[in-house]
Amino acid sequence: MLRKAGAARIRAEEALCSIECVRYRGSKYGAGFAAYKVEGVSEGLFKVKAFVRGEDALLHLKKILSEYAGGEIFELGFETQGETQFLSWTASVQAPVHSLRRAVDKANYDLINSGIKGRIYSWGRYVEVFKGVGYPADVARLYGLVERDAQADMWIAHTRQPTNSPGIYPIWSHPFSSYEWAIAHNGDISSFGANMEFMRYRGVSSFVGTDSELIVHILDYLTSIAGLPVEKASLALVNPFENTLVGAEHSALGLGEYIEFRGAWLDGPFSVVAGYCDGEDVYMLALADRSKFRPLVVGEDGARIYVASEEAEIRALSEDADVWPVKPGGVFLASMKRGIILRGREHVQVFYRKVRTSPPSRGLVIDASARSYSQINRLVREYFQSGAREVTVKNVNGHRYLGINVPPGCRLNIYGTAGNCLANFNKGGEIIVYGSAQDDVGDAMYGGRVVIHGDARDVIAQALQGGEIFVRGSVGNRAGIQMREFRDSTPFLIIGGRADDYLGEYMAGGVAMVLGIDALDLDECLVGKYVATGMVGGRIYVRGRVERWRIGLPPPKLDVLRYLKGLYLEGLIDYYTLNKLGSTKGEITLDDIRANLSSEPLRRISKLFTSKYHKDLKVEERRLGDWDLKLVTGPLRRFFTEFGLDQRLYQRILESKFTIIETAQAAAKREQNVEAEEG
Amino acid sequence: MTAPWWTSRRIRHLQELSGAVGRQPGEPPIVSMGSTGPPHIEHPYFIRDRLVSDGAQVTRPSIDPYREPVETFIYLCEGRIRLSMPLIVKIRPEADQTFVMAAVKACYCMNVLVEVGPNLPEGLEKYGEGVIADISMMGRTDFAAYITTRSNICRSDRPLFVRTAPALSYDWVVQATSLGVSGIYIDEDLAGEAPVEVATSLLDRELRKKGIRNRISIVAGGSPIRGSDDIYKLVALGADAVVMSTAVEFAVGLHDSRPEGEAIRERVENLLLGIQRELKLLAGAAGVSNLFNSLVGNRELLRAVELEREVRQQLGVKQAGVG
Repeated sequence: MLRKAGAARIRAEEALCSIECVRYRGSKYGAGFAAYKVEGVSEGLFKVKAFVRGEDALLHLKKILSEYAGGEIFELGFETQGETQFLSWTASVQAPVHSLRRAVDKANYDLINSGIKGRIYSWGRYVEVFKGVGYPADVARLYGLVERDAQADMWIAHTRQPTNSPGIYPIWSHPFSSYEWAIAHNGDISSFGANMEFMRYRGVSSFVGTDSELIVHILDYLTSIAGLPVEKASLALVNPFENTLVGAEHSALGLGEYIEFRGAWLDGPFSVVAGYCDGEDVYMLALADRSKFRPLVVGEDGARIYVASEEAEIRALSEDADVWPVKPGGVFLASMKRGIILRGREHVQVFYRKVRTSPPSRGLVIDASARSYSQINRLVREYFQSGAREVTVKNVNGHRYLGINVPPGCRLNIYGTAGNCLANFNKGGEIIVYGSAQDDVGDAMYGGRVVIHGDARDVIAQALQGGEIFVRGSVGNRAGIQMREFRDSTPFLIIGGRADDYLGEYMAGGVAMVLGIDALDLDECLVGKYVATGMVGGRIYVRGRVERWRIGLPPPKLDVLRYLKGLYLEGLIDYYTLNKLGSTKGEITLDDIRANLSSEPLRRISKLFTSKYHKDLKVEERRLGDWDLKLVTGPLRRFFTEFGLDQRLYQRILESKFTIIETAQAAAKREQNVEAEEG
Repeated sequence: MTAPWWTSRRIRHLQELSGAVGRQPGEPPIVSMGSTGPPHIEHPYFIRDRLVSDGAQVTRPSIDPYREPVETFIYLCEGRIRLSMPLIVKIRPEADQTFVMAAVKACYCMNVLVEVGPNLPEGLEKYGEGVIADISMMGRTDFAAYITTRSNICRSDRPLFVRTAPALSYDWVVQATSLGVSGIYIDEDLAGEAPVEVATSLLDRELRKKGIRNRISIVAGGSPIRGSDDIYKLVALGADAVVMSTAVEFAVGLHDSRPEGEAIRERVENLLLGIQRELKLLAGAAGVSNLFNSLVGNRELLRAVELEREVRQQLGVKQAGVG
């Protein structure tokens, strides 16, 4: 979290309080903090911090520092005490940055290769890392951060669940730092080996072996050595798709730069939060991978800017903050003095909601603060078992697994931010959230209702097979994937705002609707990319136009253009057709091809678009017909009633054009039935 | 006499991809877990037969390329050449004209480079931007790139590749690049002092050490490249693109059924499409969504099975089951 210029510095206690919200995400194997201070720092003096075990290691470290760094070393001694094998030793160093950089690398190389004897883990002027083995509270205690009321312009906090390194030594804990950069990372990048090859010969010869440390080296290299601006380096690091580099209207990065630093970009799952200070200003950066395999939200209130894995971490400190998720492949960048520079997505104010509704003071009310989810669920169960029809839980903040035990006909009200896995397997209960819900709402739910007055995050309504889920605000990635239906059970997912990528991915049944009710006057597509990829059943309604290339997975435009040119050279299409298709905006779709090519060239080029797994989709942009209205009116009316939206708005939505997506097979079958009925 | 690594299973698979046999051209077959390949089931002939892919896992999930993008494009020579996948098809000088015509057209459409001998048939000049040609053909038309030898480096408006045998040392490369060379072509068909896998990996690291890796392209391979698995492994060892030749002739059934030109073209296209899909499946299985950035030189995605320590070190590949 970053303070805004003019606001008070942030206390360690607050950083700790926030990260302890997601204690369940971590383990005893590593936690840490990074603190940035731009003022009150001795000019040009680096604070070098190293873990060492054994007298020899420390002697060697000091020797390397004095030999390689040049300059002066003022030893500050050990800042942690005795129980652990590794102690944190610190010193102030006055030296040119390039020679200190060499010294750090040399010392780290020697220390690691002599049997993990130690590691310099922080050597900035403005950043200082505090990390160790344990939970965040343990590590804070180790350094006395709360006791001495440490304060900073920015804090990064991390709790770790190690997957690929043991976590028994503090060298593997986050944040990782290099020069004035520090990062915390959630994920496991598949480009790791390529990234290693990229960095190996660029002045870094020692690695602790985790992908997370590598990311901080790459950021430091790109900005400090290669001289890329922070903004550009960040936009590239998320590995943009080729179609955003070549032939895009606005490209943040040239193809030349993309190629020049090829191997630096990150692939596979990651959420990264990073800090940086250039001596003038403090920057906070957050990166989401292109598939959005990890959660990442940002928040802003009058005094501060936040980045977190869960909204609950932000809400722990700020009820007022506006909160929104970073989009897939998105970059968020803010600075203390400039405020938010890149928001991580577009139209945040239109699509994301803050809900402030006070819980009732009467009835059965459970206070969630100071209670675990299992304690809450036990109380909820007891109340319902004893005959209650409605139970309220207030002060919910990130509690998982709520709403999984609400009997049919009963109602659970949740005030606050519902944690992950809300209403999973819900059979018939009604769950109302006055606030937002996090990831994985209504997974495999088969009856009942979920009503969310705020937003919901990724993977809502996965494998939803009965009942209805209403979200007043927006949802994240992979909404309604694998939805399915049975004879008398058609599930509904209705979204008041917008949805990100992969809406209805391999959807097999049910109805997903995206309304954009606060964006009626905004000419903006309400869904991301790869809508309905692998869809085999069900229907998707998105208000307004969804360009055809957003639906399904088209082949790269450059490959299609090349094939078209081949057809032209063989005399199978004319120059006019080649040019016409060549000037298509966005990707070229099979519909574009079908509309322009005769049978032989169409047959040939179709192979790029179809496979044995391809199912033709029927996509129409039109107003709702009788058949549609019969299907959606009931749930849609309930949606509007539930959220207290007025009748005129309802009419306006009903009269809007929708993009309607279904399989061609289902469409043909329905048309046949309609004909049969009429006949 | 067919080389022993062209097993009937291999040839059958290529022919299924091309549509010369079977009913689903361009479609990789569904396979289960486990392996029918080398080194334990089939006999290993090459070092790459002792390399296996270290697949995705729970924290780094696999990607299904039929629903999600896996980008297979490759840029060569600082972006001057774009390929739809890391593949170059080499047409052997003795190939007949019908085959050459068909293969050039197919490779052009599928956006992979095709390497031709000096006897390019009339009428194919218009496909020049899809052709990498011998330096002796300079001036005949505007080709995508030229291939020369170390002793014959000359000025060229188009990217110039130096063809070389697989070697243990590439100390001459920096000087060659200063003369304008923009790619090295390690030809597995030339007798060399090292296996192509070792040479590729060493060259990749050499260029990285000199800080010129992203300026100089590496292509490697030749007639013993049997399919997408070989391509994937050589790319992970550091090749930007892999050269395949005999495999294409086997795939289209040139020696069995004597297909006519259009059929050959269609089969080559299907083969290339099938290989591209297999590359996506392989990358997806490793959680990789982009070959150009994330696979080239990514030795971490490979593991060695029963390879001696010295070779593992030359390759930069870890032993399977360790770390």
